[in-house]
Amino acid sequence: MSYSMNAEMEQTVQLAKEGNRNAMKILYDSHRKQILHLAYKYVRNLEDAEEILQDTFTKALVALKKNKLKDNTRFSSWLYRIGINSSLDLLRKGKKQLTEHSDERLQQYPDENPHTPEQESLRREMGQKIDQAIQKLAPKQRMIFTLKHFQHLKIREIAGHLQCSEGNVKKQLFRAVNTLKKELKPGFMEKVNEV
Amino acid sequence: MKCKDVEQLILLDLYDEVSADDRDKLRHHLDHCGSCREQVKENQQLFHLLDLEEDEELSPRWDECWNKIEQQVAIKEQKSWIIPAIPRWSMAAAASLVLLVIGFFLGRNISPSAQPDTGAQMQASNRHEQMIINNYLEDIRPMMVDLANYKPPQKEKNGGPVEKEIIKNMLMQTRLLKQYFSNRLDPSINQLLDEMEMILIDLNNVRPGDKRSLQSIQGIIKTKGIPLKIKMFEQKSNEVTTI
Repeated sequence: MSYSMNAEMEQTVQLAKEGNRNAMKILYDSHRKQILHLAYKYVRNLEDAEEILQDTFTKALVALKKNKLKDNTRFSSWLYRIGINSSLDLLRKGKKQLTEHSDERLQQYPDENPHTPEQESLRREMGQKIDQAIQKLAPKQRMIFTLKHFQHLKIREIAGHLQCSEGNVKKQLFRAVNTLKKELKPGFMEKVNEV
Repeated sequence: MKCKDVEQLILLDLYDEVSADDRDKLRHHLDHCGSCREQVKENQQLFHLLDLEEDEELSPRWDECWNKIEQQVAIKEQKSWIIPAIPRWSMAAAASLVLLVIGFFLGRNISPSAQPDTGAQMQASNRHEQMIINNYLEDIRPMMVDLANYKPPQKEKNGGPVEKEIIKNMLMQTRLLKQYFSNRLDPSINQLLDEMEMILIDLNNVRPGDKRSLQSIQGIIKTKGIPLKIKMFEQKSNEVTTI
């Protein structure tokens, strides 16, 4: 982000703190994709991801008005952390279990290399199997894996967001990957090259 | 280096999270260890498998989500307004000030000075004025009743029976009404507005813990029979509005 964009964002955050509705909407528009993507990769269904998105922004906007964020330049990472906690909360509540990968509002990118019906069926089956395997991870392990593998955060950043040591992040990540390999190994890992 | 020492490095290397020094050690170990090379292969296969699902694009209901966020923020803010020290009429008072100001602007458009009135316009104008007065009376009466019955605790924690902001709001409403309706209302309501203004000014000047001044204001409210007067005006204006 350039200097002027940063300054603009800071001003927008300040206006949102003062209760300016347009500023709040700008913050939502500029950060919604990032939060939704994080939430979706974590809970793996769109409906729950939308719930996390709403929860994250509600908490953030209310906290902004109460001036809970002291440094406006840190808005993005602060919001991201709220998003992480909202995602963890949803699973901790225990009410959400993964739904199958059948959301109608998922669109597929047009594929440059069309697949045969057999390949398509295998890809779908693999998608479901991956969902199920990721679901089996413990909430924090799942979050660490999501942040590293799908959000491409550095180990140091993950440790900062989750307020734990880098060593702990590495250990949890290693365990998560081993669990996934164990879950996906029977019959699937070898078929990767077929799709 | 033993296999146990490199198992985490094998994974971290795929994420490019290994120092140059550790990477050299890892390469050296892999050159001589078939089982760890197998681990690398398995990790690569898993990554490839996980990459397959990155093809999907989401179509969230952005606007619907935003509407819900706005609603939730509004609800949470309202909840934080209601603290035990503030009586039920305080929020209504603040909201009424906004309505009152809007009401003035709307009312001016149908005021007699703007253009010659037809009978229907006159009636609409009167109804509009009565409505504004009614809203004001509805807010101020419970405030006066609560104030008259207020018993200060031993140690005042909240600075007084009514928040300063609320007093200021009501004072502003009273002055606006006085100014706008000065020659157009029943003189007795103008008198009531004068009394309300005085009480609110005194109330605004009461310092936290100043029980004497507060008792003196309570005395004025009771002797002048303010709540009763307001009630009578309310009844009267309700009759007018119904007609």
